Amino acid sequence: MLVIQNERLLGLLKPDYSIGDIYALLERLNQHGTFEFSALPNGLFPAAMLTDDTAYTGYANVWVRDNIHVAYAHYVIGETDVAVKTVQTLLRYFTQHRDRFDAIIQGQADPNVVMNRPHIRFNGQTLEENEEKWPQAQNDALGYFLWLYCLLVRDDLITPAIEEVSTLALFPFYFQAIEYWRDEDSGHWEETRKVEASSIGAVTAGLKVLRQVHLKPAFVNHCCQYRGQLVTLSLLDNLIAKGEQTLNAILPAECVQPAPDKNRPYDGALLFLIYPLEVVKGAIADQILDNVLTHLTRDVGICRYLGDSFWCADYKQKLSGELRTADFSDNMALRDQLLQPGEEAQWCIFDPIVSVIFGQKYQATQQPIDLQQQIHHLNRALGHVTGVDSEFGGFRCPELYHLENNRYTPSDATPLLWTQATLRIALEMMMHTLTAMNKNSV
Amino acid sequence: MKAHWVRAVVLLFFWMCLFQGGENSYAAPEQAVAWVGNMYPSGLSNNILSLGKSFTVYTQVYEPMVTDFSGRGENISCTLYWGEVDRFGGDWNQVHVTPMTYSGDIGYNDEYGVTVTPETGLYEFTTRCSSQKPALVRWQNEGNGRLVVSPLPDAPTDRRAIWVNARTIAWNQPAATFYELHYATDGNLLVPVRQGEGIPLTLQQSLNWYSYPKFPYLNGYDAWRLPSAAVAAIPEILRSEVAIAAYDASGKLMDATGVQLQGVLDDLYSYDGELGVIYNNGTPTLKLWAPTAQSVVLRRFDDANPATSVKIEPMQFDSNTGVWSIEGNSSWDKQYYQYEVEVYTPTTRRIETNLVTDPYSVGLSTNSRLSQIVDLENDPSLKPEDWDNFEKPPFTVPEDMAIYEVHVRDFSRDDQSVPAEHRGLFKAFTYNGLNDKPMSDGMRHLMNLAKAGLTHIHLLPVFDFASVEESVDTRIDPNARVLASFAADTVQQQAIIGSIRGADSFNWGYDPYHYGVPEGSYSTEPRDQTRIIEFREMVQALNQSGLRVVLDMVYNHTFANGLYTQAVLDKVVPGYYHRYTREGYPHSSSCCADTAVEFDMMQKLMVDTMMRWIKAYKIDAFRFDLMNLLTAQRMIELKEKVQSLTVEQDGVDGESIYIYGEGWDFGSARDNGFYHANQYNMAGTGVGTFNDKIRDALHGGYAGDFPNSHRQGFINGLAYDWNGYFYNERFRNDLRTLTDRLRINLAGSLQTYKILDQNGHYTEGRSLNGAGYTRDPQETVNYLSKHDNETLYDLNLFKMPLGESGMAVTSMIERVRSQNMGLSLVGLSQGIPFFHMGSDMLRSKSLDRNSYDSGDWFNRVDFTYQDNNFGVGLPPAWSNQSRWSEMAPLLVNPSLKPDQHDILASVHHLQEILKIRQSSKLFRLETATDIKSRVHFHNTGPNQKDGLIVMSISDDRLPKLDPNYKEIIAIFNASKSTQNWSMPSLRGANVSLHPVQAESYDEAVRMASFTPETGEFHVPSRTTAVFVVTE
Repeated sequence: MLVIQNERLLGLLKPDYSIGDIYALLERLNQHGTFEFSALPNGLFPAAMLTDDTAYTGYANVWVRDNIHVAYAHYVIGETDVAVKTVQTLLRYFTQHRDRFDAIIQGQADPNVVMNRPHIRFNGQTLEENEEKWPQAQNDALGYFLWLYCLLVRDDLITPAIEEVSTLALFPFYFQAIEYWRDEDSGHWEETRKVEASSIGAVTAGLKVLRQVHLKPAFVNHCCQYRGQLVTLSLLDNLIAKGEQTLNAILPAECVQPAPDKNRPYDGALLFLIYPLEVVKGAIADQILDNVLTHLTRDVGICRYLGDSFWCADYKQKLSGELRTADFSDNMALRDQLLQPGEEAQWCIFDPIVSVIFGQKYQATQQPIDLQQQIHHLNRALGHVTGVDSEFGGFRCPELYHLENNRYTPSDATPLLWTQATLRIALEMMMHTLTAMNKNSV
Repeated sequence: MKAHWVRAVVLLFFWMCLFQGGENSYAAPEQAVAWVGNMYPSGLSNNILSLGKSFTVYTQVYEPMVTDFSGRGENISCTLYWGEVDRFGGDWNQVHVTPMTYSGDIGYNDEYGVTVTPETGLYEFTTRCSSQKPALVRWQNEGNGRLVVSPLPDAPTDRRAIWVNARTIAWNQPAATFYELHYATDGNLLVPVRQGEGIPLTLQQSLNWYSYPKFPYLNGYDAWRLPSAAVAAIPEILRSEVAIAAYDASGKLMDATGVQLQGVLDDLYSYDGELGVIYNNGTPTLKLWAPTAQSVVLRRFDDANPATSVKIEPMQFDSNTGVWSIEGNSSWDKQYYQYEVEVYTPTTRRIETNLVTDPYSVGLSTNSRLSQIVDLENDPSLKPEDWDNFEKPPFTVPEDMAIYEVHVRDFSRDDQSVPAEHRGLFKAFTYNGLNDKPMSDGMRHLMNLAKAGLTHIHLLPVFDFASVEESVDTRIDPNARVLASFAADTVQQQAIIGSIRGADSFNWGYDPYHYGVPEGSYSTEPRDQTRIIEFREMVQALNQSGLRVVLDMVYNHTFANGLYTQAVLDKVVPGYYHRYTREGYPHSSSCCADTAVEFDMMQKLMVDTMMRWIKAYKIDAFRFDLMNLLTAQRMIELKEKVQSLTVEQDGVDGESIYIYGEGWDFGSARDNGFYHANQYNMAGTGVGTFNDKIRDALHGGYAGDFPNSHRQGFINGLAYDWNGYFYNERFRNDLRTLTDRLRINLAGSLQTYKILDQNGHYTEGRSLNGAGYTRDPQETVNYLSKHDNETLYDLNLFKMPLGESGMAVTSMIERVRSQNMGLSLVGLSQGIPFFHMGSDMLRSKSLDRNSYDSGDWFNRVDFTYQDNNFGVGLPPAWSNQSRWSEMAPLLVNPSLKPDQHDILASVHHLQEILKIRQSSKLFRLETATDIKSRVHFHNTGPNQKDGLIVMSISDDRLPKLDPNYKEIIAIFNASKSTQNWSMPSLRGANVSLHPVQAESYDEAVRMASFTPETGEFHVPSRTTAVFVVTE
């Protein structure tokens, strides 16, 4: 079923698009500010655009992961200067707090104390860490950063200075120190720590691009030593191999640890390993995609995983404001008890990614069904855009829809910049598909 | 050459006479050539030429030593003389002299020719040749040729004029000056090219839509009035070939056309008395309405043997009524007859002598060759035991009806529990466990349904139809064992059936031959009155089984018209009983020529034969095939006539007879400007119409070929379980739009029932794309499948996802539940539910979408519930070949073949739904007011849950309709997941699953529940759950 929240978009949604149709959609959405990414002066993006009523969410903070997705969207649509500014500020942040890396690499801090980890959620205005307890062990976020930063270096959009390269050099040694391939982290969803494929995959992706730029002379000239240890290709290859070896053992699941609160056969986060990280391809990618479509896809959006109690039905009635986005990572059962099966929140960040994945498949296979699916998931994603009577205003991209008084309603993190970013990418990739089709037909 | 000289002498005399009138000095004699003659066309010949065509005249000339050599003789010239006349033999008005040219040698003669193109008129012509050396001239001497040049050289083939009453003819030919009516009693009419020979007509008025109710389409036509002097001739004219002609100011023919006579025949001869065989104390009188016939003769036979000699009896004509009659004697009883009708026939434009059966036949011989004289009303030998006194099942109101559509042959042809000699026949219905008869599997099925709440059996056509050979000895049926030996996706089965389908035992029977006689192929003996007795036995047995009987009548068309073998009406009064275009050709809105009930005697035939079925055969209801080809006015008159019947006077309570039909929006009645009997025009009349709104909302509709065949509806996944087609209908608002319409349908499809629609507006049913069209619940016959198109099971094979291209895979359990969901929604809608036989058995026709002539094989029904007939071969090419490639993989897929458990799940489901419907009057509300005040929908508006309909019916007002329940809540969860619905008003209330469902055959239904603490209902996926609220 295609659920279209904003009926004013109905006339623009089609089973077959032309390039002109996509332009029309972009024009309509841009007219209404759907793709406004209000950055801080330093180029970082708060997670969501908040009002006084929704400030409790804490989404005014900066998440490394979200910033990478937003920056990457700008990279995809050609606004590379925005992407560069974001990752350079993030690098500055990591440089500013490199002691977190040092302490763990040198064994001076216990990585199991998550606040000892490099913080992936912080105050974007000041680049200061928050004191608030938070599940900071999120290797995927570091992986994402490494991946995009190196991507921009690879594309000569960034030429790192010596100090910057030395900060980058921290990452492989840090990943080595925590043994990322078997490190339990809180990952994309900031919840129970476990060995998660989506985190391992993100780190692997970062390391792989680092390996690519490692071959660039300008980079090698500054690189490769941390306190006397060299970042060699063999070090990187070894780390990558360990990551891939673990991925092979876990995928297409997210976590195969036997503990019930950790074991997870399906997870939407794995989609990101297919796109944009591109560390999973072929049959295993197809299996991940199939799992998501079969087990997690709902009428409105796509669930993060089965049993996800975040923004379960009537969430706002069941939890006070401060608890809604609180850290439950140490005791998820407290929140999980609120969930009725089948009432998981349906997220908006996945359909655009699924659309892009199908678009890539179509470009590889030319199978009409892949194009059809690319369009369908793009339309689903467009269906998430809020209606004009929404309490958050019309033409906004929510984080998710959850059941509130039996109606699927956006969560308070609306608009969420991560969703905006993925939707914008999906539209751009639809355009790429159509352009390629036109070329082929010529 | 002597002959030439003789002719020359004669010519000398003739040329003196040639141009009568004295002014023709141009014929002054010259020196004559030896001979001129052999004019072609010859002298005194009558020639008719179409206006605009060319006319060529040849002549030959002989001059010794000149023409008898090869090639053109020197110094000879020939000329055509031609001129227009007012009458042949009269003066030439002017003379045209046209030189002729040499065209060749004919023996010793030279031949000359010339071509001319005259205007409309009468002409004479002759030829003359002359030579210079010596100067001689000769005229051909065989008399002048005659030529008629006419815009209508033959009698008109069209009939664009309408004789609307005795003195008025309508025609839209305004360009002329003079108008005349012409006729020829011998059927050889040539419309004169000069004005003055016909009956002059005068312009009376210009017509509008309302001038003549039987002819609304004459709007804008001119009305032409016959003079008083012609009135006496009208009966003779009506027995003749007739044309109306238009002449210009010079009196020349401009246009002419034939005349449609129905209006004047109704005006002069409309007859309200009895027709057919009328008994008076054992003496039969035969009456035939045939006002245009020149003669009618009775041909009487002692028996039906074709070798039996005929007795010819003249019949008397009543010029006041147009009825031919003859009184017989008691010895004629059970004898056979036909009429010999001599009548002008427009289709052949000649007087024909037709041998024809009686349109009012009461009995027939095999294959309807002869009519039979029987006393249907009084002859005890035609009645089963206790026929006059047995009690019919009680009837209350139409809203209490529930109908099951049965084909006589399908019902028992393969029922092994019926004796072989009675399978497929009327007799099979008598195996009902009563009257010392065993119970057949089929009758057990029907009686179980009857116990559950079914009230009526609707029989596909059982009147005499033309498309099945009635003699068993002459039929050819395929060997089922041979057919069974072929694979599920092969063409052999249908190929074998196709090769013999013209001679096999099966047809639906929508091919009317005689409207008032039971079909012979359904009786054990078609040659005599046995069919009457066995038909009555069937009705009696069904009535005794608790079921009333509906006949499917096909008054909208006849199988044949004109002079085709199986035509009847057109052989008696040609051109009367059918509806014609403005040009005078038959309308064929369906397979065949449409009838025209707007005319009195067609309406009378319909009414009279219906009365016969009601009174003589105790039929309880009628279904009208393509009722929309009839007029709303005539249907209302018919209903009033039926309702006027009383037990005291007629032995029948007319109020207990229900009438319904197909009220679609197409066809000749509409095109001819009538208020045709479609759904909207019948609203408020109490006549029911098949409700395609609920049908299409439920399953997505029948739309023919790929990809339209994949369009989905509420029960099979629209939007919520996409099958890969029609992406534009995959949106939630599509499902909600459809669900809103379906809510209206559940509320009796009332025009004025209001719901809160998906946009948050209170909207009436008529505004929801016409979903609401009735004014009373008895006007909707709710259904989702019937004999037409695919069975519901087959239809869903195209509509539910098959796992292709990443779509879901539909399990057999889901298929069964989807089918059952459809049955539930029909069964629990306000109005009259109608079910196709086998729709409760997952019946398949192996994907056949039009099994009217697909033989027994594709139409089989198994009342042991072991097989649903899916996968028995590719369905017949003549209706399905375009989809074979799509069908073949389905037919061989074993997962699409249900087993007995699956079939039983559906069998039990319908019975449960009928029981539920029967359990409370709240499901059978009788007025729009009641429905509006008692039926409410929850889960509506912009925040509704998808695929979920929650309907409550309350008994919270007077009069109390249900002694047991104060409210009923029916929840239809079509979605693929369990859905909950909370009704806070019911917190703490005494709510339980309906007792029938608490004991349901379906485990999932039993799992439906209500939580009193929260007022929340829980209904499993694809499940209908009915909850009752008690005090």
